[in-house]
Amino acid sequence: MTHPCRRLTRRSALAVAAATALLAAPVACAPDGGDGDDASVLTGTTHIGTSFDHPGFSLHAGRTVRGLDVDLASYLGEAIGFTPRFQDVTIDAREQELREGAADLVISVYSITPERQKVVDFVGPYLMTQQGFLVREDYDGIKSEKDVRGKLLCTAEKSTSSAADLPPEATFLEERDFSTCVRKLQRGSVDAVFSDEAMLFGYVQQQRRSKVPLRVVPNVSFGLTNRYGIGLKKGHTDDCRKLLRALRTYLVEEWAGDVKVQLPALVDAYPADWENRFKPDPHDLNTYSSCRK
Amino acid sequence: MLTRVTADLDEEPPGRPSPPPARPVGPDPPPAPGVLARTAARLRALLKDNTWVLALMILANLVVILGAGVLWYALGGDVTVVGVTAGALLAFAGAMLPLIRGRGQQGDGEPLWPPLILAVIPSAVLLVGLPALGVYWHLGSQSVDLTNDFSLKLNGPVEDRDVVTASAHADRAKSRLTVTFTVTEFDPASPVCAPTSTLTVTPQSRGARTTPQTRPSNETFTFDLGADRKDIRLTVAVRAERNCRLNLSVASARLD
Repeated sequence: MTHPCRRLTRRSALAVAAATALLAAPVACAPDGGDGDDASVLTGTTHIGTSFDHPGFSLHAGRTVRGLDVDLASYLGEAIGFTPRFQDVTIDAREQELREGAADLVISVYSITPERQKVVDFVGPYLMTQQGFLVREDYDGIKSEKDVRGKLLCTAEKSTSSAADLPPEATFLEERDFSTCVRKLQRGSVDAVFSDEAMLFGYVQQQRRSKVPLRVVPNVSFGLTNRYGIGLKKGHTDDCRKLLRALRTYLVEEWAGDVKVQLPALVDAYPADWENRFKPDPHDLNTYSSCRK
Repeated sequence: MLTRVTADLDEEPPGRPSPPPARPVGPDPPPAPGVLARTAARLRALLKDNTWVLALMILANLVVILGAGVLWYALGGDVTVVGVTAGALLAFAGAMLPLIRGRGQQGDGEPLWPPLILAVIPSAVLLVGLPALGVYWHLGSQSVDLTNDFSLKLNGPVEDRDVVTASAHADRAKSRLTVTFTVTEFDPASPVCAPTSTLTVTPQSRGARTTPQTRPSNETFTFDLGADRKDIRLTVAVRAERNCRLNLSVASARLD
């Protein structure tokens, strides 16, 4: 006959074992990373969402992608130890791609906004820029801010420029992307393209030898300063910190050289103070990034 | 008593068996008094013959009523009403003294000891006053939370170079103010701009030994107001990026 105490002990042992197994299961299934962090996306091949039609930042041509965003992603890959694989992402799909895991990171002239910070994490800024006007080189209809009244302006829908406060007399035309706006500008369908100055200089460079060259109107800006950040899905704190450390080094060591190569029109437009205007202070990374280190 | 009388009547010499007791004859006796009536009678007897019990009763009455008055005042009651009520009660207790002194002389109970009754009133005042004073001093040493008491004179979002007045009234006067403002983007879809904003806060209290302080928004300001103050008034000057529109609110505020 089994002793009642022994039977109880066995039952207790079984209960403890079952409870331990239940508790251990999620731990065993939990991905790597401390503090309940999700598995790192910065290993092996990392899918980087970027827009393929942003000259100067990420332009797909001749089976390659080149631009400042691409250079930054490549630097981060070397510094952290992952292989970037670029994929096209539209402006309005950036958060969705991150949330659904279609892209591991988004490096795509991606402005940090409070609304976006609610759904994705940011590391940055890696570039800051005012918002200005891109016009045909021979166009002089906009010389000051008051000249914007009555003009037909084009910008990309869901971009931060589309939310900027412009004079009510100006008419906004929202297109799916900026390249469409630039084509309309060159055809004369709109007076100007309104967007981030840094991005507009990419189009200036791209269209320099075209039949209709373009220029950025100097010292006329509306809206707020945009700060570009690297977007990543929430819950990757360790990855966020790795990116933050690498980006801090990038700003000091590589940023200026890459901008000179990829955005020469920007450097030419502000030869004396282009770094002051567009380069963030590395100390700002702790202020604007979702993680701190 | 009735049973005993019956037993006396039926007493028999020992050795003979007792017959069953006879039932009393005549009308039914009055019913036994109830619990309340018995208690009241006992209390009356005590009060009649015992100065201590009478004194304790008066003391308990005074403590309860004075204590209730103090609580009522602490909860915001009118001090005039509290004072009048307390005065009336003390006068009532004082008026009882001649009655107590006259007791016994009219043959209606044991004479009482007036000095004991005289001690009741100050005892009651001390019993209520000392804890109340202790609580008052304790609360006085605590900080006063003004987080929800601050009001900002705002007409929507603030921008660069806007100046806002913030004011609050505290129940207790204190001389040290600690306040933290929260600044967030008015339009969450616009680029983030709040982190670069700064606030310059200046106390407007007369005699405040403070100079304006400028700090990044969301940081804490601490001011020595120079003297204990209940009414706090601050001006808050905003510096922000061009076109940056911000929501300004008080995250926390306290007086120490």
